[in-house]
Amino acid sequence: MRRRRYLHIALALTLAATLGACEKSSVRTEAEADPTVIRISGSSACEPLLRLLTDTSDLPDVEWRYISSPGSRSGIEGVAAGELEIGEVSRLLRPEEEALGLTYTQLSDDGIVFALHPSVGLSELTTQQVRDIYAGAITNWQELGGPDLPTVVLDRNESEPAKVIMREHVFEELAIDSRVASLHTETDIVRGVEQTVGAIGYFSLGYGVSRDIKVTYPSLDGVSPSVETIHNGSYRIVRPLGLVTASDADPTVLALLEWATSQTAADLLESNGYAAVQ
Amino acid sequence: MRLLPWLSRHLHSQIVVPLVLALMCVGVVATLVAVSLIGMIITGWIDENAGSTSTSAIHVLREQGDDLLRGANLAAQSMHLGEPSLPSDTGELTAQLVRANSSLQEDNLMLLDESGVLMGSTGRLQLRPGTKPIAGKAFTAISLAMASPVFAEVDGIDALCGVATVTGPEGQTYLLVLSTVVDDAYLATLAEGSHASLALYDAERNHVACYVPAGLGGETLTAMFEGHSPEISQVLDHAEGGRSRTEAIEVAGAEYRVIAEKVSFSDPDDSVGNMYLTTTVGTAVTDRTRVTTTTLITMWSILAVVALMGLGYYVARSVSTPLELLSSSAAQVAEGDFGAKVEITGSNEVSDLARNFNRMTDSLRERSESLTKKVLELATLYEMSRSLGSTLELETLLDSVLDSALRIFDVEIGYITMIDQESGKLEVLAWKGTDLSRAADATVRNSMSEWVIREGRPLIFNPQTEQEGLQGDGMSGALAALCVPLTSSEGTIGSITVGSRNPDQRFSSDDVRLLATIANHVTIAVGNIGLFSSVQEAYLATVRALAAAVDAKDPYTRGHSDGVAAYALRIGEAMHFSAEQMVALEMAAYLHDIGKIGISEDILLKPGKLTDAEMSQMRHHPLIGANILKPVAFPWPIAPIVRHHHEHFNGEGYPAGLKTEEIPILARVLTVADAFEAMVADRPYRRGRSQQEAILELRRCSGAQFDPRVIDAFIQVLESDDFAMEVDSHDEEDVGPDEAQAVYIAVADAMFASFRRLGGPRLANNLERTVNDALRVEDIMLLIQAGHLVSRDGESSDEELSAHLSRALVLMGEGIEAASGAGLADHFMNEALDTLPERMRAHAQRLGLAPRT
Repeated sequence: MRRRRYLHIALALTLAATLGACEKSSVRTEAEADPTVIRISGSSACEPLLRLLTDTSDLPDVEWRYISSPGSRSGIEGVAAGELEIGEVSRLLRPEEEALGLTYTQLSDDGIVFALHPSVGLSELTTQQVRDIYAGAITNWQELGGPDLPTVVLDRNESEPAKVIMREHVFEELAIDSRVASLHTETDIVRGVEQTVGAIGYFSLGYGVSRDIKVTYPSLDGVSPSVETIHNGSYRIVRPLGLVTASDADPTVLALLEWATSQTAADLLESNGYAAVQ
Repeated sequence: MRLLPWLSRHLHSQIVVPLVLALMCVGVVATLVAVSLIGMIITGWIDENAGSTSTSAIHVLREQGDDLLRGANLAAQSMHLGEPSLPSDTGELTAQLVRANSSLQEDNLMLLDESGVLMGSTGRLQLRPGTKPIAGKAFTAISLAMASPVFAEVDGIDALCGVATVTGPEGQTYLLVLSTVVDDAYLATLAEGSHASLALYDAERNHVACYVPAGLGGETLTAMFEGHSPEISQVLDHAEGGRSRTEAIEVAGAEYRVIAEKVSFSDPDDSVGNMYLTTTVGTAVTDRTRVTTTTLITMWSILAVVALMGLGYYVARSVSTPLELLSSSAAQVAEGDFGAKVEITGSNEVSDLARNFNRMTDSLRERSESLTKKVLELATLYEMSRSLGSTLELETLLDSVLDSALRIFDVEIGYITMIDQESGKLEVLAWKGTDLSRAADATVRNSMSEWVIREGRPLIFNPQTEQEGLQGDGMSGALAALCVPLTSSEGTIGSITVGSRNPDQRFSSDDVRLLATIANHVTIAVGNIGLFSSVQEAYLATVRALAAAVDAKDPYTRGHSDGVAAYALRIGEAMHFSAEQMVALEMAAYLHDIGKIGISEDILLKPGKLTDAEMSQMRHHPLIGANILKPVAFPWPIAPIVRHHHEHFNGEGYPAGLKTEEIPILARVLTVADAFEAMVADRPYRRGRSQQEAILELRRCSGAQFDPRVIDAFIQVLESDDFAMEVDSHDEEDVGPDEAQAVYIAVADAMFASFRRLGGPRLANNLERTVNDALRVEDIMLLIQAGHLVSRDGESSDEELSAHLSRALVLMGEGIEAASGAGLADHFMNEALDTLPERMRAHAQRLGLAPRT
């Protein structure tokens, strides 16, 4: 207490003397602290991965400004229009998009996996079972040997890259039951699966792992979804996660790209469920 | 004051210490006031902060509730209920709930049937269909409070719920409940932006959630919120009564301000669905602020006190230092050092005081010096006047006067001149600092004294500074001199001059006055001396006349008194008698036998031995003499000396038979002188004994008839050469006219007597006639009558008389020669000379009356 008292006296003594100087230096600090703003937008599927990278990059004086947007397309167009520095893309570039002259860098092969609410308790599903569920043929998990719980089926809109990939690998031409809830964003579907008893949905493995979502990832046709199974090709429901940058990109952006493609970053991605591009 | 002795000692302490004490009091009071004011302001600010945090949190809660209500209604509109039945359609319902909540983004969305059974749910509460998550009163409140949010416990979890009804196809009513979990994290979002700690309690005052921001008590505060602490109960009581106010609570030594408010969404009095929010604000930050502010204020107060103390000390010193100087100087002045000065520069009251003080001491010093000088002058004057009275010798008197005058004037030169009354010449009688014993008459005549005596006015001579070397008084060499006349009633009798060789010496009119005063004293004293000496001479003349009368009565002892007087004075000198005693002794010696006037001539002149009766007659003469002298107011006691001059040392004398010391010393001296003179003097009937014989006789009778001391002194005198020489020199003296006349008369008488004895009366008569004729022929105013040569009528001077007597003696010698031959004339002359006393015989020789052969 006595020491604090002395401290206060010393503080008070120096207070008046340093007041003016403090004012000046704080003004100067503000002027200096004018960080480079890197605007990022595009596919929300990429965002968790990109956040991993930007959060761990040690670039000084950079403000990573994530802007929500409808999808990969807007990200690409944004970079092309100069409104964004980085565009998130969760699919391969289309030919007209490649013609824009942007630089595309793929960072990961993201596995799209089915996820179950823990109350379901099943550890393996087959493609057929999934199809039955989404078709409305199976409405209670009891039918698959699970608990007596109604299936709450969550889906994505048809235009969503994840749905596109699912159509390609699982659903094909399956008529999705009308009672299935189609959700707009990946976040919605992740939250839906996580918070609704008896729910099933699909989303990015990296998203789920990196955000530590409390769901179970049943094996599909005996293949358990993981970085290894993605790498070795046994798990095939993958989509490319990457980003586009302007050809004359900002040095900070280049530095981020350099970091993102480093081995350290690759290891980091893998530990978070993202199969890094080898 | 006694407690603080140092306080009372110095003025500056008396100024500074009370000042500092007052300042400290003011500082302390000001600090306390400022601190308490700041404390009040800060407390008010804290309370306001707590209140506003609480209000804003409640506002957020209400908004949230409204949002939930709106969200629930929105969700209700988007719901498409077919024929929901458990469990078949639950999946679809739930999927709809999921989709609805994906846009509402609330914690939980669920659908209940009329009986409260869960039809489907999505969200954080993870509810299973078929359960009854909301029980009892809470469910009633939910089902009734359609228009307002409800706070209820859902599946054991407190949540704020917005409820909307969804009507099924058959008119069944379902409740769509949109909930926000009210937990600690939720409160954290509520409290965001403030440093307040929030805690929620339900209507039953059960703890719902609390949020304690970092650095605000942590565990202890949480424990207080979770437990049912009396402090919380109290504030909740206040909130329930609608008397929400901020209160102070103390938890684990830290102080907090807490306010509780009731949060009601519908009817405030309804105990269900309401809750209480307590907002707790720590005072640590404000305490720090208070401490800092207090420290600042205190520091500034101390700084001010110190600065003012320094200033006060400086001011006090600048006042008290001069005062101390003045005080010490005043103390010096009080001790008599008038040279004390105070040196204070500047031009303020204190320096004015110092200047006035210096002027005062200067003035005091001058006065003191002049006073001291006056006292010295008075003392010296007094001493001088005493000494003036104590001496009757003019030179001693003048010397002492000069001494005093020089001391008074502090000069080194002085002299006194007086006009000699006989010659009229100016004589320097006394001098100091300069030798004027051989001053030339001309110098004296041209001196200041001459001018002063002539003019009868004082004269000052002060040297001009430019005229160096000019002497004020040429006689003494003084550069500055002051001379005043000695003025008696008979006019100016002399002058007194003081002077100095110091050229800076100046005499003033004061000095003139002073010296004039001295001069007056001197004049009076000189006059006294003159009077005294004239009186003394008058006495002596009288006494000599009386002595002569005695001698005339007894021709045999003619000159006896003179001799006795001479011897007595010698003895007196040897015995160091005072001047007065000497005078008395001389007088007494002349008069000691005056009593013989009263003795019959028959006895007195009787040759041969006296009979006893005659002797007793004779012994009366001292008494007779004393009685004669007694009425005469001599200044000296002569009568006792005369009375006792026949006393013997052993007491066998007369008339009183006194002995030793009973006899007056002068009488004892006189006895010796009388006896000695009687022994050595010649008498008509015998020749005197020699001096040696007389001394032997004196020695023989020493201690019996004479005082041995007197005898010793006298013999010493007699045996010294001085006396003999004086006797010789005495012989060589010119014979005075009186003595000459006496000698002539005595020789003439003796010659006539011898002639008659031898020639018989007839021849004697013839001779008488012959001589008288011759005298008449020569017109000499003398005649022989009955054998004695006497003066005829008529006045004549002494010289004339002496010449006549001498001529008469020659004529007598011629007459005798004519009558009896030259041989007999020589015989008669020799016989006559032999009858004369030794002294007269010597005179006779000098007068040419030598024995003839």
